Amino acid sequence: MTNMDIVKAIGGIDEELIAESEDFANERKNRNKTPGFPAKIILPLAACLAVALIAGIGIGSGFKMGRSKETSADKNYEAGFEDNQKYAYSDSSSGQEAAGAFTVPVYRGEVTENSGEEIKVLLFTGQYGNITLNIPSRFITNIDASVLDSDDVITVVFGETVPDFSSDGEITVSSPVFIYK
Amino acid sequence: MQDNEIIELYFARDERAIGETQTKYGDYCFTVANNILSDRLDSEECVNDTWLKTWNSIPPVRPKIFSAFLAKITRNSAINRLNYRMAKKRAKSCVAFDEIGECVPSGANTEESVILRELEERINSFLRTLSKRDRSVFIRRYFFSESTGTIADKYNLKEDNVLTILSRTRKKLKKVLEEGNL
Repeated sequence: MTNMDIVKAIGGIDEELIAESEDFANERKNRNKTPGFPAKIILPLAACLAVALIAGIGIGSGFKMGRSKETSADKNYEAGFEDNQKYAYSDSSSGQEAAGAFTVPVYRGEVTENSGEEIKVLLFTGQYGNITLNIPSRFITNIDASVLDSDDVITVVFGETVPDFSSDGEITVSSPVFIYK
Repeated sequence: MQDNEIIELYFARDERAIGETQTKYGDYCFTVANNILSDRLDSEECVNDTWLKTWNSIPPVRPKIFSAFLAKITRNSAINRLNYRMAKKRAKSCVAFDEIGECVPSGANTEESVILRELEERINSFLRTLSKRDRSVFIRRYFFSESTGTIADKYNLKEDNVLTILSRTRKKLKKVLEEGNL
């Protein structure tokens, strides 16, 4: 099989699929992604909310900001955070580190599929480019996964373990995450 | 004029059909051809070929979606023209290989067309397994030969996203074709 065979075969794509690609452009153009507020305002707000939520979980399980290392170490461990560990704030749009002593990894992405059992997200990691993240629904802790539709732009907050984005291909999440639409 | 009315003109062998098609789809077909050929004169000739081939095809063919039907004819004409252009530039030895290729028994061509048909079916089946977005991005790039920047603009995506989608789709397609021994 030669390159030209593939080129010719693509010429045999069904007419309805060709027409669909035209219609899809109109769909995307007409889509009103974030009525009222642009994404640049919504997403940082969601990120701040996520930081506050995670900090809240930390406090709820005994972690207190500013508390001395000696008294909080065991409880930090229980909460899933090692003592004095500072997580990078990884919102690729800003590349800035969140203010405060307690920061969490926050990423933006776009839902590409939702099978009910699992959602696929094209995650914008910045440094490592776009990664496909498979999130089993049972690991989504704060919302019902069924509300997520294809093409939704979401914010993903890793609660415990941040995947290794440097590895190629798709990554499947194996610990709880928080998702904000 | 509506597409079905234009098609009826073809069935009635009324030559106004060509004029109406040209008025409605002339720019569209020119863009399809020019994306491949990047040459105004060649593209215009290619579009003229499209009108003739459409006239010769309808009837008996009754297109389901007229614009896509025209796009397919235009694309195929443009690819043939591109091949011809490339062949003219080839060295004399290559031309000699082309000539000897004419001696290949006709059965080989039949086999080739069967393989091509199978390949088309596999690509169509594969495309139906993709999300609408990924499928559309693939078609815009590899059927219409649009630039990734144009696709990003058209679909309200970042160009990086388009490149990632295309790369992943190519990998998936390769896997599908390898599994099918094609």
